[in-house]
Amino acid sequence: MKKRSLFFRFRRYMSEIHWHKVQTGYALGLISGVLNGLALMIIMPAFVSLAENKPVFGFSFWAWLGILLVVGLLSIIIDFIGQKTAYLGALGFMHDIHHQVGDKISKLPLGTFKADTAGILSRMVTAEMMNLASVAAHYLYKNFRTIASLAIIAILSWAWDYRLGLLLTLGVPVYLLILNLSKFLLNKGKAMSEPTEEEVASRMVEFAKCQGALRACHASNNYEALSSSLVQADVIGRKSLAWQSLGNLIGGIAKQMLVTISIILIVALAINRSLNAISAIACIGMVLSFSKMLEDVSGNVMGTEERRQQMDRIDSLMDTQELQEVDVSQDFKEIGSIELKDVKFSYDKENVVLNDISFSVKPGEMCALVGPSGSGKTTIEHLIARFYDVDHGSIKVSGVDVRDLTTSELMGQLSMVFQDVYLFNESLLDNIRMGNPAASEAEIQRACDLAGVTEIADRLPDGWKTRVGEGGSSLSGGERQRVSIARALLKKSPIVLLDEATSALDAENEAHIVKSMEELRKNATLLVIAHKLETIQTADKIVVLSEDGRVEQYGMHNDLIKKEGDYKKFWDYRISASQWQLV
Amino acid sequence: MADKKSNKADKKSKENKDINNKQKSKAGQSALKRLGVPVRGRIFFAQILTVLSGILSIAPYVALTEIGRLLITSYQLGEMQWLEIWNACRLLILFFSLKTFLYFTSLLVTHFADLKLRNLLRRQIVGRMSKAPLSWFSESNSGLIRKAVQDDTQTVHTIIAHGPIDQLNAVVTPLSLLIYAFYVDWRLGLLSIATIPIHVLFYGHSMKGMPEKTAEMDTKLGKVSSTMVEFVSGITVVKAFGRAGKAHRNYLDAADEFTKFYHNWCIPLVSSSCLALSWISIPVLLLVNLGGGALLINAGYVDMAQVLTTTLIALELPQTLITLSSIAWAYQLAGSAGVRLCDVLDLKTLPETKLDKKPADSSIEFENVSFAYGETEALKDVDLKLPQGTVSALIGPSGSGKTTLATLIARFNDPDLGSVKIGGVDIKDMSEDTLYNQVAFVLQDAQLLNISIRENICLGRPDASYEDMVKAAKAAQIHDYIETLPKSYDTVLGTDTKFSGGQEQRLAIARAILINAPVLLLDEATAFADPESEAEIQKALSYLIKDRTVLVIAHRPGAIQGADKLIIMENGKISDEGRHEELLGNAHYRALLKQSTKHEVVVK
Repeated sequence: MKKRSLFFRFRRYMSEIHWHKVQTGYALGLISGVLNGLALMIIMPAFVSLAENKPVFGFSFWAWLGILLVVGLLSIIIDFIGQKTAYLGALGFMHDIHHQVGDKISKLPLGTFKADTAGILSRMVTAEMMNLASVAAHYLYKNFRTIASLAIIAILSWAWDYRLGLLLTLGVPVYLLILNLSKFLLNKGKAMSEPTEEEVASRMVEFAKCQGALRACHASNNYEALSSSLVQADVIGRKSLAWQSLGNLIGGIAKQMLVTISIILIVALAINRSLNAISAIACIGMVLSFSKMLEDVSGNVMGTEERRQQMDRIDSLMDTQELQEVDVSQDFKEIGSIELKDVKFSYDKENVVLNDISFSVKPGEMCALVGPSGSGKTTIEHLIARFYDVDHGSIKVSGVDVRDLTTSELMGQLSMVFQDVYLFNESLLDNIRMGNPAASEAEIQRACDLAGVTEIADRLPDGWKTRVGEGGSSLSGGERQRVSIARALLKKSPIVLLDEATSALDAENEAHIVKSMEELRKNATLLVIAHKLETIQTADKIVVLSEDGRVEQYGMHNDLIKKEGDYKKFWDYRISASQWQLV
Repeated sequence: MADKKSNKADKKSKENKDINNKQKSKAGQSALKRLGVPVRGRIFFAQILTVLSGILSIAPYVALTEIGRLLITSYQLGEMQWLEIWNACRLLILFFSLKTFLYFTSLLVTHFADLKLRNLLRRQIVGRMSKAPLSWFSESNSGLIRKAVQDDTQTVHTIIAHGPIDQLNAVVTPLSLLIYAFYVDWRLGLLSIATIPIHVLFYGHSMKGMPEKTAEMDTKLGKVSSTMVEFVSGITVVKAFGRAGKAHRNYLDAADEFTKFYHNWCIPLVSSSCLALSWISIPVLLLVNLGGGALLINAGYVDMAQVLTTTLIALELPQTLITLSSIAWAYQLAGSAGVRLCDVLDLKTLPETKLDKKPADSSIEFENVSFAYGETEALKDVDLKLPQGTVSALIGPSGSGKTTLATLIARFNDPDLGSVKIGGVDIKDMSEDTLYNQVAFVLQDAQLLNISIRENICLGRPDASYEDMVKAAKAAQIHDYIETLPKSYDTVLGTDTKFSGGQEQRLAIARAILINAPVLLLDEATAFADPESEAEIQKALSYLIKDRTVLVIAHRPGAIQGADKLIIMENGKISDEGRHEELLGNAHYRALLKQSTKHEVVVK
């Protein structure tokens, strides 16, 4: 698969019509290349007829020039049409790849998206897409054309003089062999220095990030790990350069040597009188221009090879398993209920995160998830929102298996208040209103007061109309979470999934979240990853997870607290932590 | 009318943009020049070699003319001048070897100049960073460093070391060939470049408006990129609120608009550049050179071999035009990398002192301290005294200047006005060593390094005994956990294992315990970094603050009620200070207190 020609890999991402255009363009390029090669070959008979002042193959010099004119014109015209057609095809590729990537993204499970996904994908549909389109429009076209020229010249050379034919035909593999050797050495050199280069880069970033600690520890002027990585990079750098220089040298020699040896061979033949002077001169000329074209092609091929990785990235995106979605949702049976049955899940098919999880939450209940880190609390909430599909068992939302719901129906049931909140670069108000575009001004005001967004708006320069920057960059983490809660308050979905984790950081934020949760409880089912005593204590149901992703205990606070077990330990721990005073 | 006006405005903004672009590229080129100074000598030497090697590239063509001439005369004389011919061949081999030698030497010189420059740049960046104010090392600047170190250094050292050589080669080689063509015969020389002016004329025409169009393309492509980022980053939100269709459509609209624009721009461009290129295509060059050459032969001015030589030279010349333009493009790209690197190298540094006064004790004093981040005033005329051995806490809403004030003690920044004193000595008059012998800090970011646990804990005291280290780790409540790791204290953080937030904090506390500085800055939020291990962190913190002068950045007034001094901050000013009981009359303090305690302890 990896070794497949780049040309055929374009096929997958092109509509019939655009693929056809590219093919036609390349076919025309081939024809034009043949004509171009023919034009070059015409030098030989034209030259001989000129030198010896007699017709060759029945044509005089000027007749040959006439033929050259016709062949050349044809070559130029066909090249013109071919290039244009290939370009149109490549432009079609741009259109097709944009649409296919967009469609694919909308069908991927939400769990596919990580912190760096946006960057990778946006590069994919801009710079990398342009690079690949230029491969389709330009590099591949040129390669096809030049290879056609080379082929026709090699073939006709046999007809002209078998020794010239032999020379050119043998020259190609020898040239490629030496070039590959040079490439091998270059890559070897590069690969050698890659690990040390990476080490240096990450040490330097670390040096910047931890500058405070290093300075406080008197270590910023001689941080051993950094200085030794710099020295190491220097040593390995020299070795790597030696290999690369050798590779460059061999590559450089390859080009020169082919020409030099050919000239000497031809001269030897001429001195033997087995080749006449004019023929010899013409042959040398042919060798010179042949080797130039060979150089062009190999340079071009290397240029396209570098872009193979970009195609690999597109392939791997398009090969990602899509979320299987039904066309029509089943009807909801019990709005607001959640039910997990024998749920098993792992991210990598090896390390099991959830093990036979079963529990249910009735409409209007608040259920608290507690357990040590790594016990799968967040994973449970993500599975309910179908970021991933379970490996075994089932999850029902409002009485229907999440896999039997369309994405929009499922999402209609849920609000999610997780740790990382994304805001669009629109006004603060627009970001809130998104929760429910039909909400009245009064409703919005109330939600914002409760969630503490009103205070944010008061602080911002343009109030509610302030744009919040890409991803909400002008707001702090706690503030973004408040916006997310305001959205949930407005949306009034039957189920709310909530993670309390980072809200603990400051008192102001926490106060707003507590108030908002009281409001949300009135009308919705709440599933909370809980840390606060109050949440846990007042929950209708507590699911205690163990480190290996099983349900350890299950019940209400007042019952659980009476039994010796994980929950009691957890509770006592939280109590002592919450009463702590530094001084 | 309105249209006209806006057109004018458009034009003006475009002009501004053009000027801006020009300035930018100029700044880029001068940045590259500056960065290249340390290897200028070597590069110059390599350039001389390149000129020589470029001149030698005419060797095969000289061989063709000379050998051709000799062969033709031999045939005419009917007697092979094999000695002369072999001499010409030997000369060809000699030239070939010489060129290879020159090429290789210049390659070695530039490669090693390249290496030297790379090392130099890195060490300069490191040197500069170790003197920059600590407040500079924010999240966004760490991104800048990453880019400077990983990408920019790479781009810049490559272009500085190899750009001048490639550029020179791309000029000298065709120039030598051209001069040789004229040397062979001036009429043939003219023929070999006859169609180039026509090509340039057509090409120039097709390139009209290129900068504007390129800028417009950038904008449109930028739109594709930003809609894609919104689509993907916000995908959870987008799906949760039924906006998937809209975000998807925004992206596709931007993408389609780009493709349409590119199509309308490119297709005519392809036609005109094809037309331009056809003037230097092989058949046209052959026709002109062979046709013209034939006439010159018939007129008796030149011989066959000469015509063939200049014809082949004519075929090679256009290729170099393309190489030149691609190098110019590489320079443009490297320019902005160069500017970014220079920015890092020009980083403002903290002034160093030669005085190195020693503090008398560990009391702290702020005198009329004001500080601003650019335009934003963060601290206004702050006066504050913290006696030795007391615990003080800064409270107030986020953005009130708590962290800025506290970190001034560790010289994260120097105040714009006023002074910060420890033990009666302005910290600006202390050496870095003296200062950090006095001050340690445990802030929200634990700042652990990718080295072993032992080295991390002992970072401030590399000579600490094993027992001391274990004692610190025990006090920081992390010893037991470390013992469970297979490699115990030799476990390399980040490589062998990943610590949770709470474990990281406890390790940072162990480090601070071992440093044992009399002054401690503490962010109370570290206690709540990780709900799973709050109690352990809290225990560790309680141990850490014993017998020190402590300044706490507090988020929950409830946790620091027993402090010797509570300092209430509002908008960069101290609004009140005193003990808990003394402040109960302060409405603002009561509000803060209420917010924090109301939901905390509801049990029993």
